[in-house]
Amino acid sequence: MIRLSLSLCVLVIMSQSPARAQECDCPGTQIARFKGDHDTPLSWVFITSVVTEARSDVPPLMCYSRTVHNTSTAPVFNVSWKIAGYERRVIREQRPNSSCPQLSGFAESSPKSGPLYYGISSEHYDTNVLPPRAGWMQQAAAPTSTDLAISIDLHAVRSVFDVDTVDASTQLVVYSSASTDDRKFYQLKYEIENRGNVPVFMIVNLPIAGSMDKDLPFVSGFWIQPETRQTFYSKASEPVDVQRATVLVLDQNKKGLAADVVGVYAPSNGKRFLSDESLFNEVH
Amino acid sequence: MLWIERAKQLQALFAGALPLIAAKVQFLLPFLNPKIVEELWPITSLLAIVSSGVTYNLASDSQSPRGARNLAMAGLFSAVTSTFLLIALADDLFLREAPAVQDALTRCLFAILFVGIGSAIGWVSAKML
Repeated sequence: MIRLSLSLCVLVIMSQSPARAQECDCPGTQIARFKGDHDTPLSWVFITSVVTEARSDVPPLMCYSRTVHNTSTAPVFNVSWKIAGYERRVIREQRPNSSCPQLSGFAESSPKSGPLYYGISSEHYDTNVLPPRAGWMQQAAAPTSTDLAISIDLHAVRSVFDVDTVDASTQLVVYSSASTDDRKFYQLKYEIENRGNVPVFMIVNLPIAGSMDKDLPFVSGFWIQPETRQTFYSKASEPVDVQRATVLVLDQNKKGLAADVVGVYAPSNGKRFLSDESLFNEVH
Repeated sequence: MLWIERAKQLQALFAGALPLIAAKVQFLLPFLNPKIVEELWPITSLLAIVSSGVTYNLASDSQSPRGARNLAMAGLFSAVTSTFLLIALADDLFLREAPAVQDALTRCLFAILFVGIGSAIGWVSAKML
């Protein structure tokens, strides 16, 4: 029954995908919205939404929409918005660059402030955001936060984010779902889609357990070709829940293009290969 | 005393520490995007250590004291010039229409700044120690 409802859920999400190719909207109810309208070069928007409400033993599923719009006539380099978990090597001229990860766990109770740096100078925008209470990143090889553990909510989750090079753009989508018959043994499914016209190298730093790394090449990095979707399966013999995973995207010269955060199903007590912070520092 | 001479080589670590300090203390280069400084300090520290070590050893009487002095002067000049160019770049005084070139030049000048300071530190250390 669980498997059937989950499959239907995934089908519904997938059927919506083509129409959403250039959008990055969070489903659910908006609980906070912040924006900074500036003349040039950048304007920004941060929206926090509740996708599914918290239940007695299950934390809510939240979605955090971050958009930085380059309104100038030249590309903007070195976009660093740490308080929003958003790093981009470059944002192309007159284009928005969005990211909408779905993450499990409560948002902060009050807004946080932080700078959005861009270009080569220390000039920046002061921003307000309502980030996840547990933060955007995890420490290297640390057990995952207990704030997220124990839940066994099998909603399919989807994270979408844009990545620019100087002369091309792509949109990457990470779908994740899990199914179980007995709540002891879990089957995990990950789909990664490249909707743009440039190949990119992706590392997804999700917590893993057992031999999951053999099933999931994206843990150590893999190439995803333009306009393709790749599906990966794995298994876990311990409870899984929706976890934050830092994603690093590199170009054909293995130069960092973007670092972002996605929500994916992973073992609650899994361990990460890499330090999230070091992945964020690879964008330059 | 051989070990004292070897210990003096550690002076290069002072030059190597400067980029790290710049990354941790933002008012050292307050006009630069801190992300650039955070990214570049490790490689720049390494280059500054090498630069300081080269000038220090060149300054010994058995090597080329005059060459070391010239290297130190050139390093100091490069450092001062780089600082002014970095300020001008950060203020968009030139290359405004070519942000990719502006970005690449900023990164080069950041490294040159600390390599230059390193070579001057190496020569001053050789004279003082």
